[in-house]
Amino acid sequence: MALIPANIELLAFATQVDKATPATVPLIATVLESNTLDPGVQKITTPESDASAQSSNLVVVGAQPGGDFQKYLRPSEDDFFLYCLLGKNVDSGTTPKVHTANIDPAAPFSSPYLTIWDIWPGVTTTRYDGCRITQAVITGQPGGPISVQYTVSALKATLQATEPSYASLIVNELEHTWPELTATLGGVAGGVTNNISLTINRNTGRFVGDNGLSSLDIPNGLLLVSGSLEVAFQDSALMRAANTGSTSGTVLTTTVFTESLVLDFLRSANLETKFTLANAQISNFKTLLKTDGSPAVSTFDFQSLRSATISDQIQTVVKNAVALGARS
Amino acid sequence: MAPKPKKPPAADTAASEPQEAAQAAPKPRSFRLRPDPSEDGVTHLNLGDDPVVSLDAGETFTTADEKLAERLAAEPLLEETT
Repeated sequence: MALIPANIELLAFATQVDKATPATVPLIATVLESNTLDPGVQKITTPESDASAQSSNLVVVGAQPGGDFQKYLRPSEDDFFLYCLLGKNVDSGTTPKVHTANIDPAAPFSSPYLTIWDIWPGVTTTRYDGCRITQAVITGQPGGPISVQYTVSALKATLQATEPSYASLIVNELEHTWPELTATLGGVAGGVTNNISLTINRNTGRFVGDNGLSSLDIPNGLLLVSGSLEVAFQDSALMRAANTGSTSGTVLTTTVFTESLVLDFLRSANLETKFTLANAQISNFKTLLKTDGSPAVSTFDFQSLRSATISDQIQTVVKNAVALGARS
Repeated sequence: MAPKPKKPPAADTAASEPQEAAQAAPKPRSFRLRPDPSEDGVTHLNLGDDPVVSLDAGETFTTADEKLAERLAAEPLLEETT
């Protein structure tokens, strides 16, 4: 048998009409940086006093299908994944098509179930049914592309499934890169941001139930939007804010400083991916001394503030030429 | 004072059964995207998970699920069709 190049694996996706009905045809496919999706069969040993001189055997005690896949952020691709993560999508406009995703205030624990095909073309396909995208981690730094790692939980895995048609579903587009980023903190885009990490986590759990090696459900938990930034340390305003609650403060207070944060990856008027936190709470502000005399930088963490308007926590706007209706 | 005569239970039950049966089968309700005269108006909406509500402009979504219908009725982007 011939060896197989390891760079052929890809994933194909389709939304399901409900939790229990797998889709039959994928609607989008994506190439990957990395992938750990796995049927997740849980095997343990069960030692007992059986007077054997040999270690106990493995037994299967369950399955938790899922894993992570990492890809580059693309404006014509990630509108779909961000909708699947957040649960509500509104399309508007024609050129560009504007996809606005956020948490549905009327059903804040909801998000669609997906069928995911893990394809090694011509070799094997593993199909995951009843999947949810449970977390996205967006990262970037100067001189690099913007990556996004999505976490997936699935109800069920089937090996050696029929390989679906996917070739026409792969988006052929440049990924977002660092020069396309404008980070706006507190309404000011100062050009000082040097590293970003944004995590949108649905804190999805798993209720296994008595369903053999399938799970009953993978319910979403409490939304947490958090991350960290590295910015140039040019004055004390943010340091004072992080410690006193005010950019002009000098005395420690119990006020947690909050300000808006927008990460906007803009290629053109028609291709854009934007993440907006209406109120980011700032914490863990640090400025490190460096003996090499290089420019001082500050690092800090942020966490989106609870809001009566749940879309304040996180809203994503993606502009492209693709109607999401064709993918959902 | 003499106790009031109790209502005949059998007749009471019989009278309420058709009413309960009628309540158990709610009338389906239909929803569509609100028309938007602007060119940048809403063209598509995705909501929910089980089931997913996926609606293009001009399409109608009909459900007999009272809970889902109430939720859709509260969605500002949707209007109920008569």
